[in-house]
Amino acid sequence: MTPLRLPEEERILDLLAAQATEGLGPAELHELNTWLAAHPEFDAAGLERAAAALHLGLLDVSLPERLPDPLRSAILRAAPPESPAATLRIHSAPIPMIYRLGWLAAAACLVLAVAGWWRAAQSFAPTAPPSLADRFVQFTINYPDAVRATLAGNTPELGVLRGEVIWSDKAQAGFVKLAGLPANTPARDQYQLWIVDPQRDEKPVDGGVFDVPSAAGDLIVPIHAKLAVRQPKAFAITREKPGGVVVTAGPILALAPVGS
Amino acid sequence: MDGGLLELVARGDSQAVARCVDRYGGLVYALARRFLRNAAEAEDAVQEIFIALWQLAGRFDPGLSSEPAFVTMIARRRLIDRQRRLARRRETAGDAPEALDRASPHPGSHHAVDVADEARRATAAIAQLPSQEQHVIRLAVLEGWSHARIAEELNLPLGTVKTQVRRALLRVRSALGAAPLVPEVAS
Repeated sequence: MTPLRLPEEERILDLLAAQATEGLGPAELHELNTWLAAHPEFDAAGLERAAAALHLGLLDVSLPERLPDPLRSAILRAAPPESPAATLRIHSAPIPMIYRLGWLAAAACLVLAVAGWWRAAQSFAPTAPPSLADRFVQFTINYPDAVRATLAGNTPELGVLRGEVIWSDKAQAGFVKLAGLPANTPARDQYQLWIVDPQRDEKPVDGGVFDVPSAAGDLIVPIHAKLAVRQPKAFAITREKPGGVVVTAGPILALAPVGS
Repeated sequence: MDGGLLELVARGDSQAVARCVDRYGGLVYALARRFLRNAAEAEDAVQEIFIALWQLAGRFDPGLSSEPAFVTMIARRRLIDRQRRLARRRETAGDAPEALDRASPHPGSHHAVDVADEARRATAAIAQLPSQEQHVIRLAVLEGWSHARIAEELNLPLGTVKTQVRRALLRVRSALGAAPLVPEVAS
């Protein structure tokens, strides 16, 4: 590890302090991540924790506000039925950019391009750990009105992908069953799920990152929406750097339009 | 205060989830209403924050912070993001900054969050700073003002504001007894 020079140290601290107070734009965030990747000995969240402790001290919590009942109910409805700590790592960086609606148009073109490849009524022999398969089955029982969407993809790099998405607005959770996705090297890249919800925002919602072990065959992946989803229109999979990204440049590896 | 509530949440304990909402809902709501000028945005943000909390509960380390401070950190991340997005939208639309639109507060009978020793040490750390620097860090942390806005309102150079914010946070961190943030620096 190359020791830091003072100007470099100050730059990193300025970025960390800005992140902890006003947030960072895409370029600054990239710069900070680059610095931290080169210097993992830094406590990346140290100033955020300091700001949080200070905020707590400055905020008058002796007269607490009460959460309005409708809001409390909405929060509890959105609590996932499964442990959120299971399986997926969630990227927690800020969300700096706004997706253009053209992103959806590009996704729609991909759907049209692969429509001829999809064969309905594929059966899946789940090779995921039994607990995930059990959870999937239980989910379908608990949320019979969950939406289902056919997942399809065909890229020169990865070949044909096929699968199914099930999603419950009530649970704010769901699953992806898929086959054909090649194994990844987690230290180099990870797959990332996205939920397209134009009613909510132009940007797709991060559904979490996941890995495909070697010889995984068919896979079941829980969807953990990072933000509340109102009315999903499609689900997508991309491949990103380890930990995922806040804004994806694509390409879309597979797409599942709701209603397909 | 319950110990290990976030750990139970991370394990998927639904009763712990409800207790977490009851314990920290008021705090998160207060944070959101302070940061955001619109009641509807604040409520949306509160939902977003709790979804993030369910996902990140497993990362809570009691050796690094208290539960309330961890919850506050998660909340602040989301609120800062949202604030930046809203500011960009207003700039794009050419809108003036929103006037304050806070719904009536909901004073409640829910028990107050135990601020914990670390919060008291944090505020004690900045109490020793010159009054202007205290003002700067309060605006940055409590009010969520951007550094540029602080500089403009207080008629200070932006670099001065950034330095003061950095210095204050490092001071707070030191007061909390954390290990040095910075490794040994090359001369």
